[in-house]
Amino acid sequence: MNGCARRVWVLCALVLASLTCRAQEKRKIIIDQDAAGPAGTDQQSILLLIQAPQTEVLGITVVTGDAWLKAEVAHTLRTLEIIGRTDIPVVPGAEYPLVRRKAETELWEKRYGSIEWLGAWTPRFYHPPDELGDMPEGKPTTKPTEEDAAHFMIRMVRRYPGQVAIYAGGPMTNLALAITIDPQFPELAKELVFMGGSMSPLTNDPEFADNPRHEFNLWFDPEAAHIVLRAPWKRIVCTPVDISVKARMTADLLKQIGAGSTPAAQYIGRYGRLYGQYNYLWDELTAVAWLDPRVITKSETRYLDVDLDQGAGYGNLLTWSERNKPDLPMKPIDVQVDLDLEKFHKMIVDLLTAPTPKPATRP
Amino acid sequence: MDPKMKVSFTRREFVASTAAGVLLSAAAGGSEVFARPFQPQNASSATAPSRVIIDTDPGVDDAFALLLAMRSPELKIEAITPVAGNVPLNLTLPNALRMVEIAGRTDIPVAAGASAPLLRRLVTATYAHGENGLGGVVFPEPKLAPATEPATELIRSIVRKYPHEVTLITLGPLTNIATALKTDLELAALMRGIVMMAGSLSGGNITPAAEFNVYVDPEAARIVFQSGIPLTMVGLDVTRHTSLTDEHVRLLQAANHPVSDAAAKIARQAIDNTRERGFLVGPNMHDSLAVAAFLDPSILKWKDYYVDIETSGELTAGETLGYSPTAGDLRRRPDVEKQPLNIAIRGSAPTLASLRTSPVLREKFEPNTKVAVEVDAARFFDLLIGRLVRKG
Repeated sequence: MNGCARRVWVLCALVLASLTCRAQEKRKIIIDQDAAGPAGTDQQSILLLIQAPQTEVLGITVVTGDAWLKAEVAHTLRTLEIIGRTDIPVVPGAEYPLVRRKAETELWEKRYGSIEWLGAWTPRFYHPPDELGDMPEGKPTTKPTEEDAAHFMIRMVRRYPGQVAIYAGGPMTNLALAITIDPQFPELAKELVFMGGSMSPLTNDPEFADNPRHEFNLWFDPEAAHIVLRAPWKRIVCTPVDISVKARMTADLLKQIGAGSTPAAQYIGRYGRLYGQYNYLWDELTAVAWLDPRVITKSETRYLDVDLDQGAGYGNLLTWSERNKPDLPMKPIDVQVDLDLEKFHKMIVDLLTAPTPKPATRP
Repeated sequence: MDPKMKVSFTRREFVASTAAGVLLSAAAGGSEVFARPFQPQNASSATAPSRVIIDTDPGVDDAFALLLAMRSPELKIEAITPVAGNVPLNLTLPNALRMVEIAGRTDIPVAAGASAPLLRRLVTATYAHGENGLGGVVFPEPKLAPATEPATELIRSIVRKYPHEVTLITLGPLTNIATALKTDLELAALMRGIVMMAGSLSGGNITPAAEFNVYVDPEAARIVFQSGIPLTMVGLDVTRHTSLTDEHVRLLQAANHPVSDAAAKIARQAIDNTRERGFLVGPNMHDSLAVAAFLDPSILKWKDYYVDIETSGELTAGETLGYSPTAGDLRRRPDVEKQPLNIAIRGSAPTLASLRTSPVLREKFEPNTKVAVEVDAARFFDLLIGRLVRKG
């Protein structure tokens, strides 16, 4: 090959390499979420991950938690229709936790005190699991997948070994099922980032005041959390309540987001609101910290598990440091402690007011 | 020797043993009150073969059960799903493949299931089944490959493909079933029923409280028993009357074909092993009795119970608790026998931290399981050995 042709060939190769590299740079993620809606922390965190141009959301796997599964699936399908991303599969998962049952939980409450937030089981807005509840944003016309969450996650990590991050914003039922079906699932995933657990948050929020170790996601399905926290993930990152109480949705933030003209911004502008006093941006923080870890200014390493004894502490978070952890194999977990609030707010507004990225095209 | 353990084929003896059974139960005056019309699941009530999926942890008695099932034209075996139990999955899977090859039924997909219980470390029973799960009898490595999808996915797809037609026959810990039910919220309503070798209402084997399959994965058992699916439980209450004997081995050896040969080898070794361990009788044929119960429920007597699983007990986790208005020490008068009775489903005594005087979990007795309470062992062995020695 002469010198000129060689130069052309090298140039072509470089261009081709950079094109494929750009496609490969997208970070693959599965969003496992108790996707109550419309808007709110569950849908907003999903939107943040979809809106980020560097992510490829392989699917949204849904679990009962903040609301019942079927309602959450409907809200998620509708959100995707509104932003024009119906290419992302919505995969139904567990309708009930592994072991916990509603009737027994109500008996437990009579003995050990009432729980502030019961998600789908909260009496003041309870509806049966087959009903969808209010859908002011409209009912979806698209459908979820036939495949279920656990098998979908297994299939994805096997198709893209070492590449898929798992985001868990709700109870961990689907993840635990995947682990039971395929013990290699956690090792094949890239990492697990989850919102869950509470240690000693500085707050007078009644949800945590009398029991700082109680947090809904882990409490709702303690057995699933136990299975997940003891599984051989390559990396685990935890966004607990302790850091979440520092990040709250405000009227001003909502206004800034709502001022955007894109479908995602308009959706949150119309249906997002403040509920009571607290409005933690917990699931959003978990998502944004995965997108840009620099938003976290302080982390610490801890060992975590969940109390499975059926008494007063059932579902509470258990924590240890290197010094006092039990003599059993456990994975150290990166627990987020503090954040750059200004950077966090800016990222939320920027991402949610941006145009929704188009689906990734296969090279 | 107990006359019930004699194996016979003549019609006269069939009739005689059945008649004797009827007379015996009438004399005892023990008839049970059923909460709903008795309709055990059985294969012969359908004109076409019944679709089944067999979940198993071979296992000596599992091996017999698989061979029996594959020799039963009433069954259309859609899949076999091994699980970790008697021995780990890396043995139960190839053992299941071996049985399928021996029976010449390589048309049946075998899909690997769970390698560990939901929330417990795996406890195995190599003391009873040998280190390799087949009493130490060595069969060649199976050539048949397992299905590519996991057991739970295969169970899902088959049950959805044939709604209300598929019966699960479970012979091991219930990990695969519980997991499948939890991944798919519609699955429970689509299953025809589950026939389980599991549990005991009269004391356990691996512990005084628990039968092995439930002991290994109590949380999975609870998920299945609370699922609302029609359940049939064949537990130690009846299986402890089904011990394998030298006579059975002799009959199997005399038949001279691959299935009877394999069964004979395993039986011979298993009986020798139990003798060596100091027992007077051969191993019990737990799992084949569960299959036989589905083929011919009339070889057993049944009673409705509400069954739940103890999962918290320090000593008793894995115990199956059977609630029934007619359980208890005192026998009822004949005139009240037919009346529907109620009991409250009651848990343990409340602690001082509780307001309630009695922790009633459920107000009404609503049975969820047909439990086998008596077995005609002679008829059972006629069926089992008969099918295994028969040619073709």
